[in-house]
Amino acid sequence: MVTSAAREPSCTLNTGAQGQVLCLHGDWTLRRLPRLEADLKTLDIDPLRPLRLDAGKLDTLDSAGANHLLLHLGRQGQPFPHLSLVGFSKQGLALLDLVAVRRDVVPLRARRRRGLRQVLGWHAWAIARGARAGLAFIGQTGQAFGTLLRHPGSMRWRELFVQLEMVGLRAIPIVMLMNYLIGVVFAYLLGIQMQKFGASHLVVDGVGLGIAREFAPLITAVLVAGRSGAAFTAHLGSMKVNQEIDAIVTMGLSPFQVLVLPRLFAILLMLPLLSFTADVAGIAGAAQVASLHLGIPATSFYGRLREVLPLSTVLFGLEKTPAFALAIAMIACHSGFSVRRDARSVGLHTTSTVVRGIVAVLLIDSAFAVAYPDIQT
Amino acid sequence: MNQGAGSNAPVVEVESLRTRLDGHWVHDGISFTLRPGEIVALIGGSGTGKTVLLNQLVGLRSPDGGRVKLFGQDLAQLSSADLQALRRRFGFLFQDGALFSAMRVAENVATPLREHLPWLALPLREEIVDLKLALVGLPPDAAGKMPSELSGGMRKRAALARALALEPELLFLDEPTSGLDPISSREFDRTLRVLVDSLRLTVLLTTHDLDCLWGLADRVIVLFEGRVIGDGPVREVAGIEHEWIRSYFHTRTLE
Repeated sequence: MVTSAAREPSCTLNTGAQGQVLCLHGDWTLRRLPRLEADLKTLDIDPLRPLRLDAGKLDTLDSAGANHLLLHLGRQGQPFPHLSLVGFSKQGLALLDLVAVRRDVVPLRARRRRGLRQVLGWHAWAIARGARAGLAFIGQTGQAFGTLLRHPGSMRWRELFVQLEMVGLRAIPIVMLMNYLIGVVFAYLLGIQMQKFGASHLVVDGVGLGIAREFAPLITAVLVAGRSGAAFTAHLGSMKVNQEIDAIVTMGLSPFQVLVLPRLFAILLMLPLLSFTADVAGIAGAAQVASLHLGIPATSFYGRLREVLPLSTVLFGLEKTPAFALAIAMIACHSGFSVRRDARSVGLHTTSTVVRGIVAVLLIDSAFAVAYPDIQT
Repeated sequence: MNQGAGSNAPVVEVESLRTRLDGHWVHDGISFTLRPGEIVALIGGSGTGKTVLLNQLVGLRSPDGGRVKLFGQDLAQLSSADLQALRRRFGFLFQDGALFSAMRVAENVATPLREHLPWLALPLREEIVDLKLALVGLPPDAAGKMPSELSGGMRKRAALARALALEPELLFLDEPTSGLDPISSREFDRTLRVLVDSLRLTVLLTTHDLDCLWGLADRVIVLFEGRVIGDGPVREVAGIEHEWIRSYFHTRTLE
């Protein structure tokens, strides 16, 4: 059709005794459309006199060309049924007929534009719906947990252990590395300040308190929110896209039992443990810097640490982590379940999980800091 | 008027094509040709590699042996630029539509136009999009919807509209009527027939729909155990004495 020998399209309008005749020449195809449009516009078609289409010199006609011709003639007051057609091949007639009939059945789509009020209203409605869905999700998870308490046999052990490995075991290296580095940086900065006052040994007090109470739990929770939260959402979201979650429901199982609870338990169990490894790594990093740069040997570092860091501070840090874990797991699973059936939705929800998870962790952490301001020393 | 007059050179040529999948030969020497203006149906049991074959024909997958020629050009010897140019000349309808899920239906149909004919003014582009959507029989409100909001049959039609956007000379359809109700299927067949006759389209489709086979296809190619066991008009192929073919067509005569 579209070959190098394609012929430029054109049309001429002759007004004779028996009415108007529109002669079509050349290729009336998609690639010639701008030219066609310009040509047709120059014609002065009288809507009151009958129009004949003469295709005697027409080379090729495709649906875009046929459509444009009919649309233009329709706008000029010459609708398709009133045209008389001459010289078209059988196929050409069939094409014109198809285009005209289908155009009739399906009217032009209306283009919608949304104003500011609609956009505001739409977003407010979306937030309200989201809040309701979130509450429903928490309720359903609680219900599933209740069922599990009454029927402990319905626990999905295999899924739980898979998640324990993914969330906990495989996160240990990155969690320890991050916290080690935080310990190094923190001890170094604090040490420089303390040296000014000749009180280098106070580094131990600051590092112990900072890492055990804030840094280790927070850094770990942020890492897990990014790592496991994103994984949960992406996994559950792809299952949703693939209708696997519907399949679970039709098998008479509860997706909350099968998918949500194992993930929730895995994070609840693993986040405190990971935080503890984070404590250890952070303090090890600090001790390293103290012995290399601040002249505090490791033995005196750990000796002082035992004096100034009470167990209650470490426990306070670890006690926060189940709250973090709950928030991360619920946000991630809910987000995964709310994915719509398209690929972009998975990406959007995964991003939102990570952002909301980290924000939630920081909010909970500040709530704890405000609620328990006393620091034992 | 000489609409559609052109050479009768084959549009698709497949020569002794071989494909190895998971350790066995799915295609073991397949050959056939498609001439302009033909609607050819590819049939075969599940797992006979119909979709794989279509993917090889459009260059998504290279065969493990044999040759594929489109419009006389050997796919294996084309540079990637030439292959891209060649790809503008055919449309492909994927089994599940493969609509871009981040775009509305109208944007999906407009994508090939925007990419390949960027000089086309917006009103003309929208006019073509409207036409294609109307041609495949989509209701007007579907244009502004996201693919995830459409039913399976409507997604299929939207995907066909996208495949038709550039006025292709050759169409590959992977199970075009599966998931459509019989009325829509026949409507689809009729639309396709008119398009093929008026635009001198060539169509290769895979199907399990016997009505589509009898009502639409000019020719049927039967794949069985990696070979072509039947190639000809439906009536002829249905008469071939072969166990699989007999049981395939027998499911209909029972009615």
